[in-house]
Amino acid sequence: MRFNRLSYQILLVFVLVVVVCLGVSGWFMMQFSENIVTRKISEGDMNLAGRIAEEVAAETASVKPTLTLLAESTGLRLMEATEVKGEIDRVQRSFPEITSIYVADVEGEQIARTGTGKLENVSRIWSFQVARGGDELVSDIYLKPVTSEPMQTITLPIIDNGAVVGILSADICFTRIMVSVMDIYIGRTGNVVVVADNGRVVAHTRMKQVPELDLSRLPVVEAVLAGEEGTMKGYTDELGRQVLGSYMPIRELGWGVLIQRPLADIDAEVGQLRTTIIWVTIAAVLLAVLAGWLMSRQIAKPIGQLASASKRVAQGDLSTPVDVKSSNEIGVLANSFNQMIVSLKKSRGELQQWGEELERKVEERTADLEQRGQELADTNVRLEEASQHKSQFLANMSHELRTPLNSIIGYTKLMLDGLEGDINEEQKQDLQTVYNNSKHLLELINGLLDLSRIEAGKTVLSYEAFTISDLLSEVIPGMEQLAREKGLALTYSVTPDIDNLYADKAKTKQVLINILGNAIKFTNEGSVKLDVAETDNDFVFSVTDTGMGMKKEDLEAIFDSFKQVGPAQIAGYEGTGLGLAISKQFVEMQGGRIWAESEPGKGSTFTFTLPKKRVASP
Amino acid sequence: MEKEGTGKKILVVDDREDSRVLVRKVLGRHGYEVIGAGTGEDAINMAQTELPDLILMDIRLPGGIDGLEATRRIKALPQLAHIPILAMTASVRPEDMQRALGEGCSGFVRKPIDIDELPKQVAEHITRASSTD
Repeated sequence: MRFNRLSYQILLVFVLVVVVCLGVSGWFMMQFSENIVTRKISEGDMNLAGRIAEEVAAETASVKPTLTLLAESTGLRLMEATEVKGEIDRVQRSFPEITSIYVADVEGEQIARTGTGKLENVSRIWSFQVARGGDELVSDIYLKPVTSEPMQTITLPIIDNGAVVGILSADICFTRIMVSVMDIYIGRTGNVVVVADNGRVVAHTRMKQVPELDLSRLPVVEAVLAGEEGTMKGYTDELGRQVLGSYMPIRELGWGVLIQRPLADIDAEVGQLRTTIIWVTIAAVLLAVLAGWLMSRQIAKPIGQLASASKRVAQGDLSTPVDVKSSNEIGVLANSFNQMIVSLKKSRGELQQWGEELERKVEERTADLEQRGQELADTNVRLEEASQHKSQFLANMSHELRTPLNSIIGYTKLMLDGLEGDINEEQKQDLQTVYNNSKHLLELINGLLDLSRIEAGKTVLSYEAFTISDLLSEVIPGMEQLAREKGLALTYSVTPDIDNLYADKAKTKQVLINILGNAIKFTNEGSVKLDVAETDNDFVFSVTDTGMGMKKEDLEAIFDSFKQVGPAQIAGYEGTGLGLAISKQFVEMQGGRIWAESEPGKGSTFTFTLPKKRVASP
Repeated sequence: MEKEGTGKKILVVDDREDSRVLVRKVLGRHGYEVIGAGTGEDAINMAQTELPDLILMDIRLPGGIDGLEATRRIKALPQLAHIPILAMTASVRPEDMQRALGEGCSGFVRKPIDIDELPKQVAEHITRASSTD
């Protein structure tokens, strides 16, 4: 059993409404229950009183005609005692309310009587005298001595051929008539009363408890004897109780019927009704709660199913459709929901297809890429091999080229030095040209090898700590000699603070020799000056000459090894070789820069920097 | 004035005759007797027969025995092990130099030969070799 919030809400609202409605109606019923009960009782009592009145009227009315018929019967007129006895006995047996009948002759002698009593003379009785006179006499109601039963005596003349021949007298006991009345019990302690026209009690449910049979004083009796019918509440009855009385006259007799209920009985009934109302209300509330619960389940269950289905869908489970069989809005919703699931499934399928296709494409591409990567790697290996072959080739080639140069340079020098015999000045100059060019060729070959090693990444820097003076002492003497031979002044200045360098000494030396050598080589008169200074981050080496200078567009090209304009194509700079290209590589490998500033005819300045590096342990 | 090479015998091993002649000319001026060999085998044989004071050994030699192999074999012979051998090469690769020193060469001479420098080098190595004997 699952309770979700919706079913609780529905139940709560339902129960609230029902409880309020039933409570209000119950409260009203409680309020009006006394009126209702009173009205209902008095209506019933009036009804009953009416029926009793009719019955009593009917029963009493039948007695006198019977007696009249008897008085006129043939047997009585004959005054044959035995016949008379038979007649009256028969009538008395048929009418139990007739307690006794006697027939007397005109003298008052009883001819016959019912029962076994002795025949008497009744001539002195008033009723006989009235009947003897030819009149009927219906007595008032009186109480029979000892039993106190209400009695009435009817006396009739027996007339034969216009003359009174005797009388017939009958005692009627109303108690016997009213047996049925006295058996009627009204509620717990209520009672029925029949009063005669003089206000005396004829019949009473509790006859024996009635202390005073004359009730003519009771207002209700007064009313009923006045021919009124109705209900009277709250008077004190003959038994001293507060009662509700319903009264109905018996118009044929001038009598009245009362039905009286003690108010205590009514209150008890009201209480009972109230209890019933309370219980019915409680039962109704419980029933309503149960009904509300069932109904809320009925409503909430499919919604709950929808909710959990949508949760499943939200979690990606599209396998279970909603099982709601209903034609109302929820059914429509469930149906739409199921359709949505179907289309979701479809889209998901498509998506999956797309995904798979994508995956397949990615795999293809990946495989493709892997293949290309492999090819690239293979190519790389081949390039590596090719590069090694190139390096090997260059090494071999430079060796091969140097071998004949060995002889060219060696033999030329032999002759230049005059070791092969005297030579004249012209021959000497020619040989010097051969020698210079051979040396230049050698430098080119060496440079070629250096560059190929740099490009192959085989050049490794080896840093060391050294001083500026160390470096200059290894460079300056050779350079001074070169300068002297050309009649140039070589000067240098070092900013006093600079002392320790941390760099690749051999390569720095090579760079310095290269640019100083170039400066001397391409300066024919004037001076070459070396300055070593420092900035915050760098050491700065500048070589300034008073040579021929260069055009601006050539300033960068001279550092390019074989790119664009080759060094040999720069006017006046034939024979710079590969030195500047190698210098650039060496400087840049150490994190520095190299550049030239120049104007044609005004000399050049070549500058390179080396970053200051911290020495681990000075 | 007696030249420093007088009485000293130098074996120059080079497959190129002009190279051998150049060395002979350069060193001959300093009084050295220079004999030449063109192959590694010849070099080993001549070293045994001539017992030179110093050998100039070109590293690259044609045939089965190159300069390094020849150096190794000469150094393996007890009666020749003391002879200083200078490796000669046109190569500038440092690893070639190191390999030569590793095989027992006392030093090396770069080609092209510096004709001013070579006699000094030779004299120095002969002096050093004789002083350690």
